[in-house]
Amino acid sequence: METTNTDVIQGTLDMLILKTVSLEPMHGFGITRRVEQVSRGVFKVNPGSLLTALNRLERAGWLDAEWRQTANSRRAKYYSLTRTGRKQLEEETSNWARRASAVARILKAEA
Amino acid sequence: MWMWRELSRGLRGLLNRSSADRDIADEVEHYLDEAAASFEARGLSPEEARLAARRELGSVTAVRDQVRTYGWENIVETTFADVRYAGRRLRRYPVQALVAALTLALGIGASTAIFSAVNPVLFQPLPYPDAGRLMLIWDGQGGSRFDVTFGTYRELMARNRSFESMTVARPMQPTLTGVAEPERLDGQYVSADFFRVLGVRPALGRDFQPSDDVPGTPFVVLISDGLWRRRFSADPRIVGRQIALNEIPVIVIGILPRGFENVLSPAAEIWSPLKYDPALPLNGREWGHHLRLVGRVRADVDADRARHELDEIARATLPEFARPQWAALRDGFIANSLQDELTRTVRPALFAIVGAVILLLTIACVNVTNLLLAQGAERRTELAVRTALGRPVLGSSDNCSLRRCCSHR
Repeated sequence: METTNTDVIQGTLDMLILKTVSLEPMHGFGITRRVEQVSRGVFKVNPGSLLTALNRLERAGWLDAEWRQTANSRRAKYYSLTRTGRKQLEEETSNWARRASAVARILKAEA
Repeated sequence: MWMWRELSRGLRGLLNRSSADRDIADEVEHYLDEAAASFEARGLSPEEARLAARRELGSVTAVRDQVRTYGWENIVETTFADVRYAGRRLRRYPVQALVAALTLALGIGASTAIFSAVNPVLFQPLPYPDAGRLMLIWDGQGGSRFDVTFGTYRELMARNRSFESMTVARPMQPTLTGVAEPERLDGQYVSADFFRVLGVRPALGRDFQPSDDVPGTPFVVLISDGLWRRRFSADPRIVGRQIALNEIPVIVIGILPRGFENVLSPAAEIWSPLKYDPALPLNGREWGHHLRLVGRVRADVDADRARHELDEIARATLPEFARPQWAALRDGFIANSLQDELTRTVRPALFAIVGAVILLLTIACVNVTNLLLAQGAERRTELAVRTALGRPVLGSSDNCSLRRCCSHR
């Protein structure tokens, strides 16, 4: 594992979760691993924040949760994106794109 | 939709805490399993993998707590936990609890007692319909308050437009005679309108009529419920019968209702018409300053306009209302609401007492707070130890908010 990994940027965890789950239903650790892999280890998800966020997103109606039996007869909670969740994801994505490009422009102008 | 989900989820969490807790625990456990499995896949032994996963996750309890703090139900639960905790503390330290309770009880008790004593005087309206419209009017000679003369009353009655009605009264102390045991009574001579101005009607018999208030007519009286019960055994046939006051026969024409309070003369039990001479002879008692004048302001007139009109009347003399020099009204009238006038002298003292009592209550609260602060300081070590141990011993979500505020110091 890389040593330079950091916590997820403040305020983007929800968006990352929604995006990750939009591909297929996933459990908590699956989301963590996916985020770490796709970001090539740059972002590290804090388990406490992740589980709390999942709870919150489910409450907000953006995620559906379903308990499934795992291979070693444990219960696992799988999350999938709801329709309002998809809308929220689009909104947050475009929002993020706008802000990120704005930041990029500013940084370029300085250089 | 969103509200509904919040509410139902929260309620479910509250009502079925153990299942909600198990869900969280299962999810955390599963997370740990998966993390361990992924370490194992990278070539660690199962034990090492498990340890590495745990290291990465941190304290399982901490994660569980973090997840559990989400949602409104958590606030409800924390509050309940705090209340329970408070209850336990009170039981465990009965002496402090008793001291706190006693301090508060004394403070609250004293304030309540004083307030109930002061409330009817300062804040409750007088026991008459529309009591706010009753005004007490004084002859304001030299800025002081003087009782008015009958002549002044007659002039005001004839000239004012602001008052529905006016009445005058003066004390009397007749002796009830013609019975086995004579008794000195407190009473009032009143103009015929007295009870109508106050808005009170006799419970039995009739009220005074203007024709009763004429010199030379038979003497009639109204008596209070108390006197009726005490001296006439509550016999309704007393109405219309003759009794003797100062050995003069008078006819009882009515009995006032039981709850009637006469604020102008609280001890009065018997009332008789004034029977002053409307010709107002200058050498008679008609021009003596000895009458209390009460007016009922018309509903569409405010006190200031009434006062203004009274002063105008005082300034403008009319030939048909000639005034003797001692009742010339050169300084106008002093007129205020009956309630204000009655409580005028005691009001500052009563407010001072109310203030003192509020201070007393504050001091009681401060004392209890000090007691609690002292206890809290004593407990800091205990709380620290308990937090370090992951709050064992007392219940599951023991004193969350308390713990939180201590750990934030």
